[in-house]
Amino acid sequence: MWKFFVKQSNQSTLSDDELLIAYKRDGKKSHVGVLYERYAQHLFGFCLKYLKDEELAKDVVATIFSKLFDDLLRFEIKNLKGWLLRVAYNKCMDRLSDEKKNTFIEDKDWIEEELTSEEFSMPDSETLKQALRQLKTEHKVCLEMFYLDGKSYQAVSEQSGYSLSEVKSYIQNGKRNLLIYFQTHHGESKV
Amino acid sequence: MENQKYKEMLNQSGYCPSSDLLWDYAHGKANVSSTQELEKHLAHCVLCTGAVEGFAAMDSPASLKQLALKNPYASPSYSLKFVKVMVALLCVISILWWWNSKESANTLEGDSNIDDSTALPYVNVESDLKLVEEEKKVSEIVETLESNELENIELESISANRWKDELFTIEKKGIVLAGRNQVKLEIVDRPLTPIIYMYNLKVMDFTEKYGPLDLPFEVPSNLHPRFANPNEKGMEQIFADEDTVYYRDLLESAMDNFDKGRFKLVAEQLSFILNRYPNDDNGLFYSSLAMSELRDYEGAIKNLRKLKMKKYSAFVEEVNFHLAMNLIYSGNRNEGEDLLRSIANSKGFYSAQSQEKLEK
Repeated sequence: MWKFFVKQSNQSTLSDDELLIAYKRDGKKSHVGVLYERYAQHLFGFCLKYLKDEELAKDVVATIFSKLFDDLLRFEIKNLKGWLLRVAYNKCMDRLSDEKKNTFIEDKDWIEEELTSEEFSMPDSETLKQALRQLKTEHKVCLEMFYLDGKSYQAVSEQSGYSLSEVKSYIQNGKRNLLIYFQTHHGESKV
Repeated sequence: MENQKYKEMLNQSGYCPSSDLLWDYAHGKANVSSTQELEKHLAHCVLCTGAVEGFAAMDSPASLKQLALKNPYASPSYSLKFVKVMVALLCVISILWWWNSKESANTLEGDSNIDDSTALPYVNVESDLKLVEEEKKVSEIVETLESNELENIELESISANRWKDELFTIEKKGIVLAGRNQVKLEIVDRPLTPIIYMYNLKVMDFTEKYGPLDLPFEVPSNLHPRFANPNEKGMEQIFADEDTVYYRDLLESAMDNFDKGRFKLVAEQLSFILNRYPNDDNGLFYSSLAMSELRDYEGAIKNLRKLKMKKYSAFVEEVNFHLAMNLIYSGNRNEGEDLLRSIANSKGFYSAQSQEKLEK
């Protein structure tokens, strides 16, 4: 009886996984509500990138969470952010013409990596330095300027001569290639 | 310190920053220190990178704020005062309701205003849902409506005598009476239909649901379980002295025939079930598989599409896969492959199979 008068505890400190477990356990939609607060606006912006239409983007976000609400009780979702991305991307692609879809084809790989990424033991810095040497020049240069020199994208672009979009791409691909290098040469080991 | 910087290169984790910060960054309004940390996050976060690109195309954050207001899953935070007021209101309503019930109980026998929900009325029913046209209890109507996936229909007060001869026209989301009064019917909690296996084939057990409504099926002798399932000793014994075939008997016979590959018999037997219960999950699913085997792809597609509309079916995953395959068999390759692709991406039970089919 006393609990009835107590304000509900703050759920926003729970991680995504904890919220998913809680939802599966008690079915309270407020857990999904926290996830909505956490991700809805990000997803809206993400969908807007592809759809270029605010109403459509809002509609897709509503569809994604409706699907999440149902799927959470039917399937196990291990990587929520990856799942949201994949569903968002697919829903956006469904609404685009083939010609427009092709312009975003590279994003699909990055999204798939997000979905399948696994934690692994962090190598020491000597190993990292060695791995950096294996990268292409443009990737190595941008990674070093960005992480070791602490420069912003803009500053890296101005000093390296690469365009802003090239810098972002080289950093993203450089990181990906480092991960692949470690997975290939040092095996995966989960934390 | 340098070690930490190297390790940041491989860091894939970290919480996403707020959408307000992403908005400011997208419009060049983030301060320098925020920008550096934010960009390190953007370097590995697809979601935030995409969001920034999307926000950059917006002129004002109004739509963003509007989105934030409409969280359909938020739990309200109750204040103590609000709760106390609600409890008090509920107490008053309860007392009034009890008082009203007491007054009704004192009314003379034979009064047509008696509200006696224990003696449910019999009503004549005609509807666009093709209910069996015979006298039905309101509780039976509720069960039948449930099986047709109608939601938000609530059973309110019923007058035992008043409803006896009233005609109902049942529409999709409610009931409109031909007579004076309206009744709203609502399903509060929907129990899941148990799943059982007949000859290793999954079926939904509608025994309880159909129970009081179930009448024997009049099937021709070639479809009767006694004759339609040769070498099935169980069937012969059960029906040796009995002609009566109920839903479960007919379904079991059809499942045995399905298991043995007698698809024409299956389609014919299940058509009797579907004539009476047009939305029966088992009937729709297995008849579509049988029709597919008999190369009646259009027939299979029609039943699978109907079944696909049912949110609570036990066959929800199977339906999509078989619909995709039948679309392909029938020549509608594009739609079929699109559906296979969405199944493959969904990481459900059929995702690997769908992927395989696509690769072939």
